[in-house]
Amino acid sequence: MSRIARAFNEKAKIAYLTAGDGKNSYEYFLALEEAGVNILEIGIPFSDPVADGPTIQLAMERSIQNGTNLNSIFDIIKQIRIKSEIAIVLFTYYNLIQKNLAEFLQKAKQSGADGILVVDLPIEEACEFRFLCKKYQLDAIMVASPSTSLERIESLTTYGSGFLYYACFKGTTGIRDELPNDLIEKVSAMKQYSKLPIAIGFGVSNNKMVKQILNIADGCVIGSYLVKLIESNYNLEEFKNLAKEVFKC
Amino acid sequence: MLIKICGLRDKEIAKKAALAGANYIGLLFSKVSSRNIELDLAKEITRAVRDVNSDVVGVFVDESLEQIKYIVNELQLKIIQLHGDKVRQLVDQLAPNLQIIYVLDGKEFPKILDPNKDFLMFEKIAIRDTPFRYFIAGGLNKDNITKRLKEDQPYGVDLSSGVESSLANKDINKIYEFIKIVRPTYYGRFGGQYAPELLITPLKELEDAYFSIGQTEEFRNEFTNILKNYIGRPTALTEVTNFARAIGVNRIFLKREDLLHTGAHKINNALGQCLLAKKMGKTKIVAETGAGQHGLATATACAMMGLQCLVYMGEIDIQRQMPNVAKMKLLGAKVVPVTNGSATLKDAVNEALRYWAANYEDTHYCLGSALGPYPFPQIVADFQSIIGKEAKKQFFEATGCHPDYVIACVGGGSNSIGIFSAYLDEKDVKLIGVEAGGIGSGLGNNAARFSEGIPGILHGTYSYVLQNKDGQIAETHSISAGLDYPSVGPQHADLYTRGLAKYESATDEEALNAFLLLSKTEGIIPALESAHALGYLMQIAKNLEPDAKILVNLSGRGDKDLPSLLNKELKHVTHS
Repeated sequence: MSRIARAFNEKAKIAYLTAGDGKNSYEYFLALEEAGVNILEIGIPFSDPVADGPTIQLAMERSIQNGTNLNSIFDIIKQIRIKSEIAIVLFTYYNLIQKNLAEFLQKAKQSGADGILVVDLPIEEACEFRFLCKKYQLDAIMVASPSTSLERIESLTTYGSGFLYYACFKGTTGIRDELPNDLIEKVSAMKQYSKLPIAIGFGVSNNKMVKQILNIADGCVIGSYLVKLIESNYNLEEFKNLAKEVFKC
Repeated sequence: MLIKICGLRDKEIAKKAALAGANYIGLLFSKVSSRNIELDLAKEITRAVRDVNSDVVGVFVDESLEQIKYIVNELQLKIIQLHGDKVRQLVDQLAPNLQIIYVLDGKEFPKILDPNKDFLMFEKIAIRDTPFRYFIAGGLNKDNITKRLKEDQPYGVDLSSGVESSLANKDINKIYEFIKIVRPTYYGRFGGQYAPELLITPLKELEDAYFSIGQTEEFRNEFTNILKNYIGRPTALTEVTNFARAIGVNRIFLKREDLLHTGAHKINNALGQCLLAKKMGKTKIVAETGAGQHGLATATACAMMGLQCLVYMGEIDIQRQMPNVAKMKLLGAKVVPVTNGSATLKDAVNEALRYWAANYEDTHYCLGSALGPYPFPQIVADFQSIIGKEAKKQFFEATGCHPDYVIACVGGGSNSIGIFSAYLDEKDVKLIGVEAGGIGSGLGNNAARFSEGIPGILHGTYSYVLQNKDGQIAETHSISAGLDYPSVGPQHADLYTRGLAKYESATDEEALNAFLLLSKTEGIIPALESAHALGYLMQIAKNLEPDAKILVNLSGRGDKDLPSLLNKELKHVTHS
């Protein structure tokens, strides 16, 4: 059983951080595991992240300033793997990996990644990506959004593997206080068509939202809220406690 | 979708097919086929095809193991197709790293085939639920391909007789036409729809509206009427004899898009898109702008059609294009400064995309250039094609012939594709796009995508992109706010790759000199963007044929550039 499948044996708690933001970013990822997280989403910074809101944009800018590139990302994964068997998903924009796609996926696998999510690669353009993910035994994580039709949910979960990431708000990533009103109906309809577990993310930033999501879905993703903690310079211990607090259920 | 063209025997066509987007060129080794190829020619074709980053497939029907091995070695083949009964039996005796395309014949296929490496090909027989990637083949033509793609969901298509003009003679135009059907969102190798999932539905909605509402006679009549009575089309074609004499060129004609209402060609597209948006039931428009011309055009179209307008504009561009900012506000648009990234056009596009993603239900994104995810490049090129249609007719009426050169500046590429499109079928007309040469060579000093960029993805389309070795988008520089975009429309990338248009550059200084010279000699103050096209013409003037006839698209007027220029580069003018 893959690490990602194992994480979904219970409710999956998924945490995103931009790699290379802050010093020794692998320590923050490890702290997240101690806080109860069972899937790590490692964001690769891109200069023009159109699907991300201001918090993650700034984190990406800081990370690029720190000199983060694909090799340093692989190093971060390897450092996490020395200590942990937690599931790892890489989160990227396509321009960063398209030139040497096969080599990137092979290295990602060798470093210890379990899945890849490419934000700007819809299934129509993902033919080769999907084949190569299968070849290198990586899950190709697909994203669904509020505008995705139910018919398309079926295709997304046939094309993809691991889990379906439901980005539940229109717009970009970023902290929000409440979940959309129609989330329960949406998700129960999606479940009829999805062949994969469904994790919900986008905007999740407090414990109440986490609990609500885990009641109706198989997993919950928190991103901007955690990135903001890094931006606010919390030390490792404080970061871990706040992460534990928000994911508690 | 992989595309394989099989049975080529002409080096030039093979190369052109590869550049048009074919991933594989199939060379057929079979004494019984009229498409059989000799080894020497096969070597030449292989070299030509690999030179342009495609590959050849050796296709075998009835050869012996020794013959196959010999040819594989001679051509250094990495992939072969086993077509006949006899050769299929040889599969387990071939080198294990050789990639195989195995044509199914209804019998069980050999265990040695590896779904992580090899392909199947369905010609007469198809199977369902296979872990293998597969091609479809056999009598594919432009009438049956759409249906077959839908039914068979293949990984690739194999074309042969369907792209021939006569037996065994491939026709490059048919190949290109076919590739367009198989990959409708692409121009050859470039284009596509690399957008976040959230935008896929709105993009599909836009595509549907464009092909239904946008193609009706009613829509076209209304659009034509607005172009004529509101912005003053057709624009003039002006022969500039003083300027021509000053730079030593026989005859130069300017297509006067500067005379349009709002001062540049951008209004053609803005009106087309806003009209379409209105008919789609949208009430708001969001747009990005660089030089402010597209923002102004969109604000104008919105004021005229009663739509709300929001324009994202880089902070740096706001500083250098004050008159346009004031005009947009006067027209009721909200102008939002963008401070992140390089605070120029690309960052404004990022913000407009983000806004659209959150508000697509009542908002249309009026993209200002022939770039972005499909269908934007096609829609923008369509609404700008009026420039070329008028110019071609006017030029012919004035001279009795077509121009030798058509020159236009290229930022995202909308004014240039607008004028080029009319001449794409005229083989003797040389098309030249002029990019911003900035302050010279070196990443960050210019916006010369074709000389310093490499193919990549920015804002949803695969094209030439200025980027560093990690794939981060590079900063650019140009004196002109409308030319400093780090990528370029995908159709230009295709024209460049297929050699159908040339792309050159003019520096800030050259553009400025042209700006001054045209103003003084002709009483026409060009936009700094358009001045790049003239600046390049001045560079090549002395090498042109003595009887050369040139058509330049004067895409806009320079009023918007004056405050910034008079404060800085042209300070001496104010004080003289």
